[in-house]
Amino acid sequence: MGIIIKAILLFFIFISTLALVNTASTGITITDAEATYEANLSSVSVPTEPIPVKSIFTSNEGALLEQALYSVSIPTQPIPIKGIFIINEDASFDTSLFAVSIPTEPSPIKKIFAHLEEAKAHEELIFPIKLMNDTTSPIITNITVTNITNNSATVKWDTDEIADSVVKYGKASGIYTEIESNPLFVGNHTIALAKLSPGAKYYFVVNSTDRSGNSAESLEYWFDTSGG
Amino acid sequence: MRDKGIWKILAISVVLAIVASSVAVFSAANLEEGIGEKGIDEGGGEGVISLVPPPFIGVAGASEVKGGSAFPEDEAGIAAYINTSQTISIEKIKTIFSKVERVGDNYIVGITPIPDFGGDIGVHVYADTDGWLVAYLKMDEPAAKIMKWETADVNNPNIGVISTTLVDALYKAGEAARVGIVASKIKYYDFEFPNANGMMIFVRTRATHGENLHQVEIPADYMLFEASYYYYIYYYSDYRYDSGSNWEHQETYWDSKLKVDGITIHDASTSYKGDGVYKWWRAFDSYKGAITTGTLHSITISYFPCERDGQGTWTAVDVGSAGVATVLIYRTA
Repeated sequence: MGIIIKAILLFFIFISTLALVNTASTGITITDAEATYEANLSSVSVPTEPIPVKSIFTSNEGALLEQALYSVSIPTQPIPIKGIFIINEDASFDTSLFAVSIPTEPSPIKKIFAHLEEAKAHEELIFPIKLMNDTTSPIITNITVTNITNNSATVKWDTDEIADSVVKYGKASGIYTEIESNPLFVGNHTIALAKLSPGAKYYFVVNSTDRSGNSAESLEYWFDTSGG
Repeated sequence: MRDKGIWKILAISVVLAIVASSVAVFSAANLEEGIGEKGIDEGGGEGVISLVPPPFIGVAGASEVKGGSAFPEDEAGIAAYINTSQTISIEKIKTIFSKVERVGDNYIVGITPIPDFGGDIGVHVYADTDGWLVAYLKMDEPAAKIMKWETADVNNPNIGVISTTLVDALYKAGEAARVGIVASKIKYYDFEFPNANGMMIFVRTRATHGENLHQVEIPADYMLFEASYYYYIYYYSDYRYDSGSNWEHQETYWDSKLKVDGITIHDASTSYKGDGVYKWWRAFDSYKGAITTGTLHSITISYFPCERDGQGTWTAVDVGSAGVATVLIYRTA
């Protein structure tokens, strides 16, 4: 009797399984779900992460209007784009680049960047030394030391013509182990000295060279830092 | 021999005496000003030492005579120069000047007109008998006036190689003086900005209805001394012969603007009732802070030439053009 009951149960289980398999083969059946959603692949968003777009490649200009680029957003992080690659330039009207922002970070530009110009020229500016025929050195006056603290001081002086600024200094008279300079040509010179030792005597000279290469150097002066 | 030895001793003694007395004077001067042997110590804060240098303070070459050039560097701005290494006749150079400003025994300075879009550009030229030729703008003139447009077709500008009014002035002077000008030996300098070491010119034009854009970014660590522009438009107004066999004025309207980052820098819009001639409009000026370092700037130039026919209908026409040349004077990092 028990055997017959077990056989009947196994038969019903077999039949039920067959019915489920048949149902699945006709489509996706989802049961007990609270909601279902079937996405249309045409609206799928294609992720660009983790590999961002590095260039825009356009070809076959007959099929791609220049406006197609208007709405393109170019990811610049984490890898900033290095350039915009466009072929068949007859189709890639330059206005298509209007909305493109060219990132400069994290690598700032090193030279002047001009884009979409029709012509460009660059000239180095060079002082005409021989034309000016200047053999006179600058005259140094009004040397002062201000803002003396335990580790810094500011040296100022004037010259009668524009010249660069150099301060040579050290802790022993006549031996200048340190140097601070500014290559800009000015008439009123200011050089800040930092990382000085507290309570120390510093000896220094100032030096200025004009655009023609004529140099002048002061006598030696000295000052004491505070503290120590 | 013995006499020579005595003279040497005497000479050395005199030198020593002068040095010693000078040091004494310097020490006395310092003491008078309260700068003692110790100078300033424990100064801190705003401590100030006023050091008055002695008359003989290290000025190597102080006894030398200041340079002999008559070139007026105090009034010059951007300049192009060349040493021709040939003797230049002042009289011959004089022939190119519309006005002589200064003349000496061995030099001359004057203004020579260089033809360009919309009229002449007055370029100053210095020449001397040592062979120097310097063409320059005055420091109160925008450097953009060095742009030379004239070689371009104004109805369809195609700017390939940029020349400058300064170079043209050098060639003009060289031709008058019968001295050769070697292009590769021409150099530039800006006397107004002695710390500048670079100049850049870039150009954008628009010859049809619409606007063109170009962009510039100057590195943040550059020093920008001047950003100026030379902006022109060229427009045309025409007569038409209508069906009634009457000549009739055709009104034209040109709208052109120079913008930086969307902000109008210069508006060249003009309304003109034609008499059948071409007209020029041009401006030279500074961008007045609109171009800065460390920022990408967009410069647009628009050009909308329109014409109204006898029925009052406005239509775009394809004549003339607008253009802008930007000149940057800067120092690299």
